[in-house]
Amino acid sequence: MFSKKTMVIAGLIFLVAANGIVFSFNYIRKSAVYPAAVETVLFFTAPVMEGVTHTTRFAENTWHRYFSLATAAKENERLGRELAEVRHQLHLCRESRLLDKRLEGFLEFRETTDHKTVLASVVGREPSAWYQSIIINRGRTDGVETGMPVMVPEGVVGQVTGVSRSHAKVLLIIDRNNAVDAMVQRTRARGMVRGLSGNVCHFEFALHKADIDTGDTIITSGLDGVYPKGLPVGRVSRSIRRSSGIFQEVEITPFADFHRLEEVLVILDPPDVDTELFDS
Amino acid sequence: MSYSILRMSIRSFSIPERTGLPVKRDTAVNTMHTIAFFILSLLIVVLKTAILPGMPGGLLLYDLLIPLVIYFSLYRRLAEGLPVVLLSAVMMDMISGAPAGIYLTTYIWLFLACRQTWRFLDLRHTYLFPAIVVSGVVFQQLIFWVAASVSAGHMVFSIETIRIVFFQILWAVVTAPLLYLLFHKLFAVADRLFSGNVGENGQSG
Repeated sequence: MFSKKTMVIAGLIFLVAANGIVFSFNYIRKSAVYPAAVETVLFFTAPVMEGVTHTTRFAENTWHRYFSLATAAKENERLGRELAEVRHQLHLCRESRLLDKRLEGFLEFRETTDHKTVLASVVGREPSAWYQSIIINRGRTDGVETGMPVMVPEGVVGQVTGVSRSHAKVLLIIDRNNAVDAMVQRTRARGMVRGLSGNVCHFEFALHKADIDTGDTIITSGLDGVYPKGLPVGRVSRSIRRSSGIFQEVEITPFADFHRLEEVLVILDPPDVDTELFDS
Repeated sequence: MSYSILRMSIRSFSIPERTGLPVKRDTAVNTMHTIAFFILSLLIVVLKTAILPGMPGGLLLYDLLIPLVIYFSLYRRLAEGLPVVLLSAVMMDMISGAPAGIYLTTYIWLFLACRQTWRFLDLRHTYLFPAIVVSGVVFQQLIFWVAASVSAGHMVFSIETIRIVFFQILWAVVTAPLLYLLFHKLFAVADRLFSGNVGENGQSG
């Protein structure tokens, strides 16, 4: 209906008119022309600017966020690796501290004893539940021989029953095939400690008349030629004196914790038999 | 005369060729097989002595060499299985605190019993393997019990022992089929590697 040219001219006239009206409102409020002109320009252009700025900022933020996330991810990975490394170091420090604590006990024991000893680590254990033995990492080259006693600072552990060049097999005192000549520390009543089952030993051949109470400490007598005299073996956990019979039934809980054996001491010089006890 | 008696007694424990065992190989290949199988038994021993005892409930697991001995007895030639069984038994006797010869007794009797029984009953079905392993575990525990009682001078009995034996049987039932599959695969690989022959059951993998 209207040509393109007519439409363009009409549009221009409309804009000028609207501009003039707005300008006139501004002119009514303000006396100076310049501020009115500024206000007019801002009225039309500011919303567009705001929209474009918002869009630009959004795009900018998205762009930066992407890169910073990627950077954060790398940083996270790096920090995670460092944390794992630090945790590992902390774990090693804790292990060293625990090892120091254990070895301190061994060192104190070595300083209090006159016997020559060598420290050994447990590298293997008995595979069956019927027998109790361990393998240690000291052998003939370290002076270990068959028959030598083995202990921890808490008490007696067992006896070396097999030796190779650099390893040895130790039969524990809780094994049924092992026996330790021992006595009650308080009353000097003699008997023999023999493994029973689990973590319990029997104190066999304790005379019926012997004074043995629960809680008494059992020590080695030194008469078997294997264990030096006076080494702690265990504590009496049960003592039954029946009306008939020559011997009492005494159960002992060993001082050594056989489930947590990690290091042991092998006593390298065999003990001298104390003949005084034969006289008593 | 003694040599002929020895040959007859060894032959009585040989499973006849018609059953489809791996074909006869030369001595060098046999030696390689024996070495490989011995290394396998050595790994099992290391697992039993160094790893399992440190784990919670490690002692509740049965002797892992028993399934291997039974597998050798039922599925492999005498010349392959017997040397490995003997060497493994001697190794266990030396490492363990048990009386000398107890593992040798257990493994050799188990080996020969399975081999002889096969002549009358077809024990080589796969589903029977767990049952045979359980029998082997019970047999070993019986031997240990007798030995412990003899050394103690009286019958050794405790609730803890019953508990351990019960759990060992349970483990045997659960793990024996898996071990059978594992041995089957490993031995098939060994057969292929050393001689190019397929394994006893005809599968190559």
